Amino acid sequence: MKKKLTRKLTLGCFIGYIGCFTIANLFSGSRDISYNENRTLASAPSMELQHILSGRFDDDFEKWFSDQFVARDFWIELKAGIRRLSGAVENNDVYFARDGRLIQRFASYNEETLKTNAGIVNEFCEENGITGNVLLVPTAAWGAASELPAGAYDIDQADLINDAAELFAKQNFIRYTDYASPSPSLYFRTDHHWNEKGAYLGYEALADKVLHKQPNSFTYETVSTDFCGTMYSQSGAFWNSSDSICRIIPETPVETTVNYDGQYTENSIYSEKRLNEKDKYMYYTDGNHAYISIQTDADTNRKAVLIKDSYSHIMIPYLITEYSEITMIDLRYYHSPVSQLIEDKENTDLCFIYSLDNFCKDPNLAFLR
Amino acid sequence: MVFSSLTFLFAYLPAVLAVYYLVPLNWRNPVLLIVSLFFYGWGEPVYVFIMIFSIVMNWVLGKMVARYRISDREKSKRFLILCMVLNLLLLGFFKYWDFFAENMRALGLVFFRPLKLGLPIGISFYTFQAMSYPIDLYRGETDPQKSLVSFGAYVTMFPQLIAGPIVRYTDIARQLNQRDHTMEGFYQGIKRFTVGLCKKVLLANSAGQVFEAVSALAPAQQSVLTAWIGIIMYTFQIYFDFSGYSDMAIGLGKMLGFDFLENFNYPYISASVTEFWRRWHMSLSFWFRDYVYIPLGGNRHGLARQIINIMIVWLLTGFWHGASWNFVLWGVFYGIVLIAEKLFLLKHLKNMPSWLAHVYTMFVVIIAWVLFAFTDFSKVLAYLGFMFGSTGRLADGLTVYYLHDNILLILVCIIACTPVAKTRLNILRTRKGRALVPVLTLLALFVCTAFIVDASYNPFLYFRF
Repeated sequence: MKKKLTRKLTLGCFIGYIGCFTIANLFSGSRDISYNENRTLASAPSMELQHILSGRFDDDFEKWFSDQFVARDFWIELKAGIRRLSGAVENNDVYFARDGRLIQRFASYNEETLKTNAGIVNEFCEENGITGNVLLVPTAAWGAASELPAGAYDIDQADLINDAAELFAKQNFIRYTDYASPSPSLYFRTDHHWNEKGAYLGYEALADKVLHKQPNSFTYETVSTDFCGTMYSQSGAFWNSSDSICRIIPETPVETTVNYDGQYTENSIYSEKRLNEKDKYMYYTDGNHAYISIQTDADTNRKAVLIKDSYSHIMIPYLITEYSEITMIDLRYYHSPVSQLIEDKENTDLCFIYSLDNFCKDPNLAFLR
Repeated sequence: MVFSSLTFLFAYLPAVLAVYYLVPLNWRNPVLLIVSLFFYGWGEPVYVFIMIFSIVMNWVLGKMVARYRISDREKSKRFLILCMVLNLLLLGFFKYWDFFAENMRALGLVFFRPLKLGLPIGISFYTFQAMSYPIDLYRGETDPQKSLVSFGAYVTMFPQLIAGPIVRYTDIARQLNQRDHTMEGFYQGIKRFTVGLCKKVLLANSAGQVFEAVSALAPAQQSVLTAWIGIIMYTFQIYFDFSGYSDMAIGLGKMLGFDFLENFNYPYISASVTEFWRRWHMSLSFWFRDYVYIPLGGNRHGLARQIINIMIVWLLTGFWHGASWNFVLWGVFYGIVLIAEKLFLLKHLKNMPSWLAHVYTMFVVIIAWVLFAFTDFSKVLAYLGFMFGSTGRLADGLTVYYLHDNILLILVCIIACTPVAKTRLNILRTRKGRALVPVLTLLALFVCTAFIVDASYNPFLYFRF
């Protein structure tokens, strides 16, 4: 090719490229919220002299400029795609697993935090003269390990559960791995939670080890097919297809009254409006609340107090068939004494339900008293 | 504002290029000064006044140095010394005061207090750059710049303002007054800038993430090979970051009609550490050679004196890189290696098989980067320990993971460290292959944009758990 033409074309490409996006940015509208990132996007930085002189202006401007950059989600997806094409096995610590499954890396845990948290639980149970039931749920890196790309490396969660079992020798430790064999079908494909099948096995384990009975039977009804979970967001791999969310229907219907944070009451454990939002997992018990109290017409006269993270939410549809009262405590937000909730020890099952990786790093157990 | 930011690429640069090429020729230096001060003030709104002070001071004192340089050598020298002292005070105060005060306090002299002022960006670069002016005037190597605006444009020139290359006044004096703006120059500038952007955004940042992850691993997860992968990634990061930035500076300079000297010449293909330092950050090495080593006597006063001179230069080089003991140690380490090479090693290196000389060189360089990477000395020792087997593990699943996850990145980095692109293997250099240049430019910009936007990707995952 003639050198002159190459020069002209290159010049045209360069000037055209930066020119086009400069102009496109000037005229593209402002977005308030990023659906994929599930957060409010930065707005234009303050032009007050004080702010300009503060030294933070540069950063704030760039933050705003990149948050509002034209076709922002497209660029993020493109970068994830390039990572994938380059042979990388993950992007932002989420593995590209088989069949469009996205799995959180779980390559390390903090042994100190695990021991501290176990110690807090043991001490609490001893002080209150109650035996705790502890269910630590392994993550998809265990269940869907068969789907992981070559080169992926994670800790052995089955081993970690065995180690944890020793720390909870004085409690009733529910070993999930005794009831479930690793299977991708137990987890969402684009979210970090277990799904209704995984949670059913958790319920079965709890029924066996705590209630000493056979589990009840349920049917499932799909209520949404476009759930793009946290792993979808974190990975930037927006080309993957979505998950389904389902309602879990007991053989014998159960009526419930659900009180959220002592503030308002609903008569369902499902939150229909969340199906229109990004994080459809919040369909179950309306997502994270400090305190949820559920009264049911299940005539068992047993109460459950769950100290939990969000892994427990999808178990609730099963548990309402077993308990006439369930109290859910999220220690991130609930800092009042839990001991007051377990005064009726005879009829109360105190359960700790956490995902394994979260239990190994959550600092909020410190609020348990 | 760094060159690899969206603000620079899609707001500042197009605006500057438009204004620069729309105004008449004789307005271009004033425009350059104003946009450069704006560039500086954007990140450092208050320190821009230090910059202006530095410009005026060097220009005025330079004038005095030049006025008396023939008639009254003594007087000229006094002005020169005054100018150097003021420059070094400025640099010393902002860059080294806190370090000095903290060390004094450690010795029990609590009277000294760190000020926590924050380092004005690029002060190490522009102070050195500005200082070359009065010195070269005194030496009669150049004539004084008549226009304060043109001198200001030289000191602040935004392409090389914050990370070099350190452009000496003599090298650019003629271009300041008269330069050609050709399409060929602009074309070369685009190519160079794009290559630099790719080096910084695609290679350096990605390699940096790996090093960051590896260096944060708990000792129980480290192994010999993992630690080596980590530090090799740092070796890539620091080269592509710095040379990428120099490429972008040189490219932007070309777009504005300037020709800066090269700053890097494939340092990692060196067969000795001496050669490495002739290829790495050349503008700094030349600066120290011309303004410190040779004035100290260089090699003209016997071997003993030469060794002392080398040590002085390397102490200063280390200290220039940062106000922290690890940088001093890093400089001293290089000083010792270079003296050893001068005394006897170089002879042996020449007789060795060449691959062995390369392995030796990279080994020294990589060990030196460990000293450079951690300001905390206990971390340096711990990391060196991991590299040499303190964990008792050669490799594990994590090693495989890091290799697997970054295989293409590692391959591209290795190739990009060699001058293969300068050979005939590079089809872009052939007549037919040239047609790919515009396409690849566009593609590179496209991919870099994705990586830069992605760096701000911050999914709010508090709804996790």
